[in-house]
Amino acid sequence: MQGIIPHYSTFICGATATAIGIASENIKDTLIVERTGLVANEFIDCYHIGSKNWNSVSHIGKNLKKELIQRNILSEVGMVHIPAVAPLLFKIIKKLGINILFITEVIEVEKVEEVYEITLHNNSGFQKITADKIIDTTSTSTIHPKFKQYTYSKSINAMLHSIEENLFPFNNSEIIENENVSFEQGRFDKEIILKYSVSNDDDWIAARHKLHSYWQNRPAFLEKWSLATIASTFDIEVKDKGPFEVDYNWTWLPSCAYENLLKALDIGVEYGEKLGGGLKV
Amino acid sequence: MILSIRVNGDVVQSDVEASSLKEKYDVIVVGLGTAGTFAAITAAKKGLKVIGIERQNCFGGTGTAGGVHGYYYGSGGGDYERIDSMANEMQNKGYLNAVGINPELKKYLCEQEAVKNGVEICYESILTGVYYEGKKVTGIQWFGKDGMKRAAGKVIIDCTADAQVCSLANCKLHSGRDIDGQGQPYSNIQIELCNNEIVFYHYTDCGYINQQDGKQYSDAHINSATLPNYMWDKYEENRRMLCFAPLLGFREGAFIEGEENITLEDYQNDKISDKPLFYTYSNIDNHGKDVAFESEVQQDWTVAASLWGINFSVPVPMGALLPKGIEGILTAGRCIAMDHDIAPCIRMRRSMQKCGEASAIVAFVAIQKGISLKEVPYAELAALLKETKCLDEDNNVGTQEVITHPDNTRLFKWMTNKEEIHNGLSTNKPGIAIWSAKRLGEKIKADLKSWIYDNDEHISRNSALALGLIGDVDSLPSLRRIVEERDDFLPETSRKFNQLRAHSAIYLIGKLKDRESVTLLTDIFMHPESCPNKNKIYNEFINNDEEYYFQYFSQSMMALIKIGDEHVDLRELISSILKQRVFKSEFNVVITFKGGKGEPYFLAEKIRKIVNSKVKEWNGKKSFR
Repeated sequence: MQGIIPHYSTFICGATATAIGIASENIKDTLIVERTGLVANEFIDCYHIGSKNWNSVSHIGKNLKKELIQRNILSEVGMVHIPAVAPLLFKIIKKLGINILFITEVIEVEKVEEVYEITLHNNSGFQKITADKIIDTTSTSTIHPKFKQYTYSKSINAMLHSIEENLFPFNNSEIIENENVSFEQGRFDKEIILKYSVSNDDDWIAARHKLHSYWQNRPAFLEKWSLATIASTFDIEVKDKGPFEVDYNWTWLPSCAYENLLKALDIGVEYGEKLGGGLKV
Repeated sequence: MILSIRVNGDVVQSDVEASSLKEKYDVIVVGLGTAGTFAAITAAKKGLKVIGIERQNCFGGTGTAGGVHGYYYGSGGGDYERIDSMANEMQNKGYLNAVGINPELKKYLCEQEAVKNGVEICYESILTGVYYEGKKVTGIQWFGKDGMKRAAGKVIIDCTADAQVCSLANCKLHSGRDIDGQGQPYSNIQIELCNNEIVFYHYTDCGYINQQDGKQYSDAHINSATLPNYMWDKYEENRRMLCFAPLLGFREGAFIEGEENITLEDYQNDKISDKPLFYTYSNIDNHGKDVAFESEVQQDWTVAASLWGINFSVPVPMGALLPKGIEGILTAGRCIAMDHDIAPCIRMRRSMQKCGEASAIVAFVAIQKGISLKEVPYAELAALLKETKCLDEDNNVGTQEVITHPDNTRLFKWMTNKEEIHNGLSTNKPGIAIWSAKRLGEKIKADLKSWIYDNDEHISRNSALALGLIGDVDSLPSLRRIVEERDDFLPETSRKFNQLRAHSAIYLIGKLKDRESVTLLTDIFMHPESCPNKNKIYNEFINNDEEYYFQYFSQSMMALIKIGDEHVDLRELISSILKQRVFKSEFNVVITFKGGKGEPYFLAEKIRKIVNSKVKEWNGKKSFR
């Protein structure tokens, strides 16, 4: 049975870009918990490229940008091969010694006097921790129902590939035919992201079926493209940027709300700096 | 009724009301991975009420979320082939070609098949508890999007790969090799788009962890993702990353103790089931290079005879899916009742898909007849399994030599003719002859003792290996000579992972507990410079000179330990030798993992533990033989 219950100043839900930024400023006192084994799913795993503005104001962000350019993951004009950002985020986590528990679920959160008691579950079973504050950085306010309906839109994205060059952009008229569909250029000429909008209530079965059905009946302008891979995280757009108050010292700060991964990381750093200064946020 | 949960690594049990399980199913499938996918689909197709619980948000496990899209051996037959065919056909309609089976299509088609047949699917859900009454498992508790849920099932099929349901249900489990509990290394797969194709095979083995430890499992994601293999200098259009596979690749975890148990030793002695549910087919695909620490049963095969690459089929009986003494539960997948030695042959995905299918058929017959799982009659099972060729006698191929991987193979039977064995020993592929001689045992000893004096070096030395494998000490003078000369002849019996003759000889000297070899072995153990890689032998098993010496080092270490085990009067000397070497502060042993850029694996701590444990054991036993 558990003896001493570990205590953290900050508990963060979701190993998002924002979470990494927050934790980088408060390494010892912060625990991030992520139900998957991946980082920054809100951008990387869902193929959400975001804006081309990859200018960073934080030290960690500037270094990341430099490395992304060096490895040809990011172009000088902000075109990014988003999947390849993952190894570098893992590298940041390892280098800084950020506390993260992957493949771990948040089962329950209870307010106990002045702190939150959080029940987690992973392969070791149930375990408890306590924290002074909670920051939920997930896209859908996973651990509290208060903001579960705040999703503005949801899409299931896919990476498309062509053997030929110069096939993108498409004519607007070609795309308008199906308002559920939009496209974005990836880092490389032969790489585009297809975004297929689904209903906020659609689960994976429904969403996958819609995407595959669309793809198998795709219009002529997509004939020269092949579907390479489908995201395993939904691309969520929220109505506003956070922070939103869930409860006392419990904040929802959706990382997906920021214009791209680097901006989300910067916001996290800024937020983390404030936390480190003891300011109430 | 008892609810069994895990808290901080320990199983905790409490009494609960049986009536708390209001939702009822015929079959609950826990894990919709390689085996669970076909357990759920098959059970539902048979008209059973099925619910499937899965941590990921897709079907397929290792072959989809795990990024291993291609098959490594296993044999055809089984319902999975139908889905694979559909995926191959659908791929031509606008999907990028994938090496293996297109994972997006496999996910989708399996899902659609499950939906069509009425499987209730709970994605992003994790097992949190197991209910049982007496010796019967009755239901599970899980956590998902809608919070904590619970349900009763007439049959629970544990497809968690690591026997997580079984571990909460008081089933007996075992894992790893005897000496240190180590299983197989895990891998992290990075899926790439490479030259207009989806590929996955640029991965590396990443390390060993206990995946039942939540922290270790978590850290494995960070440690593996940051290996040099995954830190590309530059990304180009013709080779770019698509994603890290959401599911880490674990090859081995816990095994149940079953009503029947499959072991390598039984297989080697032809003690195999005549009532198979399906046949597996592969080689003993041990990914480790520290083979000296494996069992003698395994090393007889892979070290003495270099049979790593020989493929063989193994019949899997129903009893291997049934945890011993526990009702209401089946396992399917890599946690069925087998030992660590044979597991690398059985765990292949084609086989595990069949395992899932077979488990559902067992459940179906039991439920239909209202009998316990153990009572399910084989004849009826066999008839049902033959319908999809899950069970197919054509897959009972025996042994096959792989000439070129994967499809150029030669069926063979173990030799019984002495002339044939003599000829085999004279070649540069003597392993089949060596093992055939072992199987003949006493009947061929006299011949081997005579052949040891043959002028042909291969006949002479390979006969010594065979005689040593049979356990005859008359092989020792020749074996010692092989070691003294550092005979680095590398046979070609297997397509890879063959063992140098000197390494085989050291292993056999240890097996024979030869006290006369202590000085010889000590020289090797203490002095790396005594074993130079003069002929620059490098291959996938020997990546560099350090690994070349490591085999000498580790085999001689284990040989010394075995000699000490046998000869009490030598224990003090051998203890001193072992400690002197491994407890030096600068002692280190680094080998590399398979694949990738040769990720290093530091063995000093492991070796020290083995030595420490043995020395303590010897110190604790004061009696003399």
